[in-house]
Amino acid sequence: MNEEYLWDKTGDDAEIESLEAQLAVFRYEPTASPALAENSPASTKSYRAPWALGFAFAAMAVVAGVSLWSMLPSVDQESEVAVADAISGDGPAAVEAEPPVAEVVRPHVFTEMPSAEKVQPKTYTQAKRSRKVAETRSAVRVKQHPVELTPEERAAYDQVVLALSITSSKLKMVQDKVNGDRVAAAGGRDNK
Amino acid sequence: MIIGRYLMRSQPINKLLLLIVLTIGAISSAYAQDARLQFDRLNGLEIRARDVVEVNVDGKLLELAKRVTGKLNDEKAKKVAQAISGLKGIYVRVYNFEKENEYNMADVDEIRAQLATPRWQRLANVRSKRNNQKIDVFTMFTGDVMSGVAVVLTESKSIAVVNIIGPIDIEMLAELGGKLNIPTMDIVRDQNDEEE
Repeated sequence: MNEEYLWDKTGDDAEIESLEAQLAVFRYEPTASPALAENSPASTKSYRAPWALGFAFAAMAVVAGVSLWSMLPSVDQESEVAVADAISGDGPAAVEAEPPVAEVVRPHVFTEMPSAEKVQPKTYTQAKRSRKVAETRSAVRVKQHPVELTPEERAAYDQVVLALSITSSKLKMVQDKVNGDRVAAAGGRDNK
Repeated sequence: MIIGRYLMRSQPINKLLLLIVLTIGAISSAYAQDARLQFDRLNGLEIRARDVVEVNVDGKLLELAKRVTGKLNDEKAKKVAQAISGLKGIYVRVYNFEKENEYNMADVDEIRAQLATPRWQRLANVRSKRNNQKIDVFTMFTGDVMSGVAVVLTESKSIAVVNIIGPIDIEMLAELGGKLNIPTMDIVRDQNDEEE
């Protein structure tokens, strides 16, 4: 065996050369395989980018929506109070009045943030729109104030008011009479 | 029945304590009921009277009215709530007649007789020859706490009796009429009065 050929391929060695010839099929090829070339990092990046961007936009839209919803004006809280009142006492009549209120309240999201003093409407349409929204808001507030009473509650309250009114008028008669007598007595003493 | 079982099983000292509590409760309840006047004699007047107002507000009806005052958030409701907060009952009878002497004074005197006990104290006594007007205001106290008010008014053509059970501020009540937005119910005046 020629050692030199084994180390630096100088000289000849028939045995090693025959072995080389037999193992030539397993020799390393410097070119990359087609499959590896397709899965290169650059091509993966370009393939995923649109999905990531779309997902980011969708997430931002959801966050913005949730933020706006949480910034809803206090009108919603008022309607909640009205509903709570209704539930605590007179039930269905007041609860029925709630849904239309909620429908009207929704547009207030956009009118609450810029106040009338800070942002002046630029066009006639905008001015008209903001005036209409303001009117709707006041209408909603007016709607929420009346408390619905059941006939029994109304009757009980009216009876009490009537009883107190009668009692009051009788006591007032006595009071006026006593006060009148006192004034008359004082006037008489002054005359003397 | 439950109390009976408890008495049979419990120690003598517990029985004694329970009896004392029950007795005190019964006495205080009886005192509170003492302020209630009997209007039975006035029932017959309904047929003869031109206008009748009969108001009985107590128990659940009064509780309901108190609850309503809590719901209505206005000045009137607040005044009413203040007036009735501690009350147990309000009873009113008003009879207006077409002509004079259509009622028997003995019917009203029977109510005045109920008030002629040491427990009722006369607060005001108004007598006027005009319309033969007589107004009596009585109060009943249990200790330092007012437990009832009674107003008996008679005129030639009308009778009004008011009985309130429980503590009430009379001066506040007298001023309340104008704030309730209800036309004050004056007793019908006769023709002579209107001319005056």
